[in-house]
Amino acid sequence: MPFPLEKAAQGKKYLIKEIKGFGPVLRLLDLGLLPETVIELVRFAPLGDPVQFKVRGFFLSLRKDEARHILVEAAEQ
Amino acid sequence: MNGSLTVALGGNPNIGKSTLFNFLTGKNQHVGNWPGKTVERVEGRFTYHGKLIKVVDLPGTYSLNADSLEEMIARDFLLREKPDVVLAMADATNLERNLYLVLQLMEITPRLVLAVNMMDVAQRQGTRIDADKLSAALGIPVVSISAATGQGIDGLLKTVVEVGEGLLTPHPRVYYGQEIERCLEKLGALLESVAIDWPRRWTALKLLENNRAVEEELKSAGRPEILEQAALCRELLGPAPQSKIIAALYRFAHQIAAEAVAGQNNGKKTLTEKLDGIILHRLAAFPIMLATLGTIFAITLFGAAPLSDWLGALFAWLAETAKNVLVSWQAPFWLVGMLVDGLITGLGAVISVMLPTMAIFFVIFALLEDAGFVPRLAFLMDRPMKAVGSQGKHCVSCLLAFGCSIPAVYSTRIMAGSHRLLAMLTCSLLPCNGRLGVMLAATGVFFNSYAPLVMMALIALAAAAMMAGTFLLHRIFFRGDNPSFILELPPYRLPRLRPVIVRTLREKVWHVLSRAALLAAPITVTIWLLSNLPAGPSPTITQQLARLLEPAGLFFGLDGKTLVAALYALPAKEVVLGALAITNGLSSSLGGSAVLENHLLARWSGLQAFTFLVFFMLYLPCTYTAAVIYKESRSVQWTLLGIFLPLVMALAITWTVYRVGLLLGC
Repeated sequence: MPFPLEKAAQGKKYLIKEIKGFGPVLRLLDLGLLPETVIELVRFAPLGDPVQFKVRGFFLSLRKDEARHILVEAAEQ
Repeated sequence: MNGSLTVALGGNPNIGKSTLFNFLTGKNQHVGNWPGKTVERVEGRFTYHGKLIKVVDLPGTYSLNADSLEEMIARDFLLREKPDVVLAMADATNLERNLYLVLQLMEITPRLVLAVNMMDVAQRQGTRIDADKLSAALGIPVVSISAATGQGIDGLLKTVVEVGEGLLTPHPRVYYGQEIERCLEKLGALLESVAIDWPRRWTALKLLENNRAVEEELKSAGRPEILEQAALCRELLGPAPQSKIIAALYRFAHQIAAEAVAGQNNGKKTLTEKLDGIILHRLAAFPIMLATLGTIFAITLFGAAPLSDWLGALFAWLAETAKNVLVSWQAPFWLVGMLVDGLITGLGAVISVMLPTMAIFFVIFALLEDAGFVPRLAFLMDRPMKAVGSQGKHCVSCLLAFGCSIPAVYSTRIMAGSHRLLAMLTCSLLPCNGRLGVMLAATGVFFNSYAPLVMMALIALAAAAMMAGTFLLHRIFFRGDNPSFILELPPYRLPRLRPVIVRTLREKVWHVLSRAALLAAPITVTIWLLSNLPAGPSPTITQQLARLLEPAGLFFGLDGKTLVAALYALPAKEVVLGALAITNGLSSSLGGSAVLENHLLARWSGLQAFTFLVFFMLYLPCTYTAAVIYKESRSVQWTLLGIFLPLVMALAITWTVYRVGLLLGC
């Protein structure tokens, strides 16, 4: 079952399944966060939010508010 | 070869586009704004084998879907101005995402050359990019370059000129997969007979994406049947045609990158990953950040002090010489006063403090920015700023405000919408170099060995006021408005010393200082006049003003003379001590007085001194800052708010501090 990316664990890789419609969805698609893309949760910021991800070889920071709308499944590590 | 070419330079942010731009155009640059926008438009020109080449640096964007102001500007420029050649730049270490934008550019113009930058870095990471394969797959010329060293740029220019002159015709090829291609073909055929100014295939794509502006254009061209066909096609493609198109482009980009890139990323952690492991570490991050900021302030402070003294001495000498010359010409007393005590002394007080501190502070900051630290600061500070309705980059502007509020207000361009306004209106609450200088001097006089503690308390108070101001503004004006915060954390790199230093000194320091001085000049002259007229035994205008404001001052534990001094320091906060010397009748010029210290020590209690510093730190943005807020917000309403928010907060906080102090028996 896909679950929201904000619930993901540090250092693990995930497969994006769906981006639910919300404000900056086009922005995320433009950055290559598309279904079947691998996304790795690199670390949480020291105060817990935002979150650093690695996707398609670059680093991206998203708030949990945004990550909530990205549904993922665990990927093979 | 003769004639000239217009070249648009496009690409993702943070990939060295401006390095290439600077390499090409050198000093022949013009920085302005895009018409009606507060997005910077940089243009430059140079000659290549006798041919004049004009380069327009498009805003760095990830896409041309016009989801942001920058994307809209870049897209509209390409569609309307139709540059002779588009020079697309891509980062070799991040080819796939960069190609996504290149593919979009290929749909807008066929006259395209791709420069792949940072091949050397990619090679160190274990991958090699085959430019020929890339060129064959895309159908456009591809040149590998290093913008930092200039390697490959001559070959790049040769190709650009060949494309511009039609000697070389690129045949860009983008493939979206059967389904979408069939739709594009159908719509493209219908569009053949329509007179539109846009590329046919691009128009067809936009119709598939349900783009309003393009649909309107076709309606007004009297071709509703094309819209009907587009609606049919969209139905075939399923619920979200635009996502399908984006996914198809990324698939194509991925496939091409896979073909052109040889070797595997060697899997070793890159320098960026290692550095992030330390700088963004859960426990170490904030201590490292505070230590870094402390170091920057210390370097600025100790580095600037001797330079300021030297400049101060220079202006004193200038004033003395000018006075002697004027007196020997038998110039009247008021003219000598206006020019020497007003203009030269006043400007001297401003420039000798501002110039060294700003130069050092902003150069250090620009180098850190170039090295890639600034997005990390925004990453670390986003959580607390989110709590008051803003975002991490707000902190970046606030940090710059410790140098000078004006570049800080300009820097809010890194944000959009409500976040930008919040940062613009609140960053001046943090003390700039002028205020910090006065605060350092005054805490030294009044609090001796406790001075550093008092300084820290004051700065903490300013930071709290900034947070509270942001919270209030957000609550009142932007309630429920929470723009997203999506931030790329680009790779670290060695800062480029020379270009960064030159650019900072020219654009931040000189630009701001010269204008601040121009604005301050007439005001310092006016202050001199107010403080020396009417001549004779009756009270001067300044003294009358002080008497008038006395009751207001007493309410906050200050007095009328102090309030007038604060008023006189509005063109430049640096001069407040000189202004205090004037209003206390110790001096007739902003040059200050040697007895001011003792005078104030005898009259002010510790609480009064602290109250004064709190008020002075927060009270109003200086005149030039207010002017820049207007220039950047283009709104009288926001500018007034930018002026009165600090004033109201300063009054409220000063009053509270004074009353609490009295209660505690200070």
